[in-house]
Amino acid sequence: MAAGIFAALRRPASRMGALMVATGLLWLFVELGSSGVPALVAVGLVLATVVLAMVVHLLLAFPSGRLRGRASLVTVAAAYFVCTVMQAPQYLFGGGAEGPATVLQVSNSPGLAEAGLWAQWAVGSCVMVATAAILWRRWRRVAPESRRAVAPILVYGIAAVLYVPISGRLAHGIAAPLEWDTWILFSQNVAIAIVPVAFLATILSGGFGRTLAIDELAARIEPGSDEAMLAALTATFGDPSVELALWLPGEESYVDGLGEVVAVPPTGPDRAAVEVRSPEGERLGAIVYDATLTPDVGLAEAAARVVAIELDRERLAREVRASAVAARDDERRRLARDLHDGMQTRLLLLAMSANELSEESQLAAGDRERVADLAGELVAAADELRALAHGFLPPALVERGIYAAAEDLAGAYPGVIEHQIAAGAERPPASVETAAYFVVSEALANSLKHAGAESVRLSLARANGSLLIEVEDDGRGGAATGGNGIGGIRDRVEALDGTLSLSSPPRGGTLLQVELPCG
Amino acid sequence: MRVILGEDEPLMREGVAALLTAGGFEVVGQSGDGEDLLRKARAHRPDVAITDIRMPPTQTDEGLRAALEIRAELPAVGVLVLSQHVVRGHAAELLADERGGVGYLLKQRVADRRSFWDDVTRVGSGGTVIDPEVVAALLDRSDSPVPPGLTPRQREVLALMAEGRSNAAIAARLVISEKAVVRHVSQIYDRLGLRPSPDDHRRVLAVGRFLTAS
Repeated sequence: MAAGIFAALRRPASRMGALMVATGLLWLFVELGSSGVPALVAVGLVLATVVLAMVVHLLLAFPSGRLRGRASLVTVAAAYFVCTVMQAPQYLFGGGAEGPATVLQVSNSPGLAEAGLWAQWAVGSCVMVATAAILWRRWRRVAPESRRAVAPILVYGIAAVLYVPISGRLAHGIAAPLEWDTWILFSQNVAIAIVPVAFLATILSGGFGRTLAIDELAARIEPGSDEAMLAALTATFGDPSVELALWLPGEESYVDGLGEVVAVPPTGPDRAAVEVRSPEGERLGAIVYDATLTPDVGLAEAAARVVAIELDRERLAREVRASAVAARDDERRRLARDLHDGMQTRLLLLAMSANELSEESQLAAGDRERVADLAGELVAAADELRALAHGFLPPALVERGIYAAAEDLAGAYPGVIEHQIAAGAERPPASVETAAYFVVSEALANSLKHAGAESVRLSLARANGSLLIEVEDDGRGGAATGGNGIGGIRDRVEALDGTLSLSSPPRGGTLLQVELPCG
Repeated sequence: MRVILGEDEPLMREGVAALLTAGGFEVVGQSGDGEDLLRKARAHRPDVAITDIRMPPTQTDEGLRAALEIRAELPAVGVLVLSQHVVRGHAAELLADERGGVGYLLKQRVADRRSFWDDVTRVGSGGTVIDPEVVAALLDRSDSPVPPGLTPRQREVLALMAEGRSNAAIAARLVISEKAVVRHVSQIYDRLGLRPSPDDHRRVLAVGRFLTAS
């Protein structure tokens, strides 16, 4: 317990300390079983072996306090099952023959109790062996140079979990003298009691303190926002003043999460910074921290490496998304052009020939009529093709740009719509125009179809080198960014390094705001 | 009538040229891009310059830019712009100078050679030709630019005027007398605040107001 409290104080980010304290408390409870008070004896009997399960939990949850992997989860669940449910025969049927009957006894059937004990031992042994196997696998995976740091806990853990079932069988198997039995029980207790001490030894050993913290950081960092990453860093350093600065290659400066320029190296006393570089050596950002709270530069450097991997992964994901969107748009453009320049031209030429033929005086009147019909059909086909090409890429967008195309969308909106479209002096890049077009058309379609809006407001404006789009309606709200339509828009916007915000309280209308940087 | 032709797709260009020749027009020049079209217009001073909107190098609206420049620089040259699609802004831009001698048609109208010959002739004689689909698209719009105070009938008449139809054609289409059409037309002029002037010009102005109102 003391070890747990110490660990909790030393490494607040980890759940290990709390787990160790809980184990200690439970053990204390079980020992109360020896006190002779009937209620406490009963509690002691019920919980007698749960300590073993908690030790298994501790060993497998090391070092972050969380269970990783299905094997660990299953093993720990099985351990708790063995120590709670399978413990039941002991206090329900047993006890009468050797010791005092407890308040929980329903019938005195030593046979049943004995069978239960066997089953518990058999399944429990499996759990212990599985635990040992998982620990052994982890030991194999640890890099040789780090093995010294984790050796105490893994090696000792394996030995302890194997000792318990083997010794338990020894006690029952050979008709040993009674004092042997007592000794074996005592040794089991000692073996288990040393586990937390081994933990503490490992946690306090210098080299592993760092490994542990970084392991925690890696487990805590989740894909997504910079804030989540900053929170993980704050917890790892145990330093609320930690800052994560991102490098802007274009601006040659560092900025924080709000886009404010951050000084690196830091100016204040005791502040220190460590650079975050991608595996290729490209500068990605920097971690700024309090050097008095974290004197270990190695820890900061290791944290920077973890952050680098995460930032690099995010950048790659963004690039992949951007190129997927660009490829899709190129494909649309190519298809629209092929339909226009290829198919439509051919159909029109055929229609022209048919039309000419329909005036040929050598043809019979009936034939001329049929050829004229054919010409009409060909024009109709060209017309359909035109509509199809329109769906791929609206001609107003290609020929007149986003402002005119947005105006056309507003004009075609069947409900009440108010629009302010402040055309910039220049057309934004084609990729921005296409994204903006799909934003406006999707938002208007949502207002019409899903929100049941009575009126809509659309605005487009240029500001600070970006295109700002706002679509607001008075509909029923409750739109989610994860929805199919909005999700597609978000991909496009993010692929262009833009931002999208959606406010859609139930019955409160919907406001979509999108900002697209124009290069 | 002498015409020049701007179209970047060679097959289409040959096809339209042959069609115009068959209609008795003299095709004095052909271009594959906007700049060359403008040069040929200066060199040949044709009655009409017919051009596709999308042309190299940007494949956006080179043809329209060239047509507008020709209108500004050579008022005697009519321009007929062919478009793959109805794009409202195009028609508005063409009609903005209110002088007539402009046309805006869907490209597929070339398939009906007789009406296409008529349209080219009308533009060449200073008239206005607007594709029926453009007019329909404008009337369908929620923010339709139809000036307030027009009756539904006047609206219909204005739409047909925008298509470039004569009073007789409008009368036939709406199954009313030509006199009734004349009455509607003069009421439309009043509503739009157009002072009396040679009728053809007021007609163009009315259509221009109609298309550029929004």
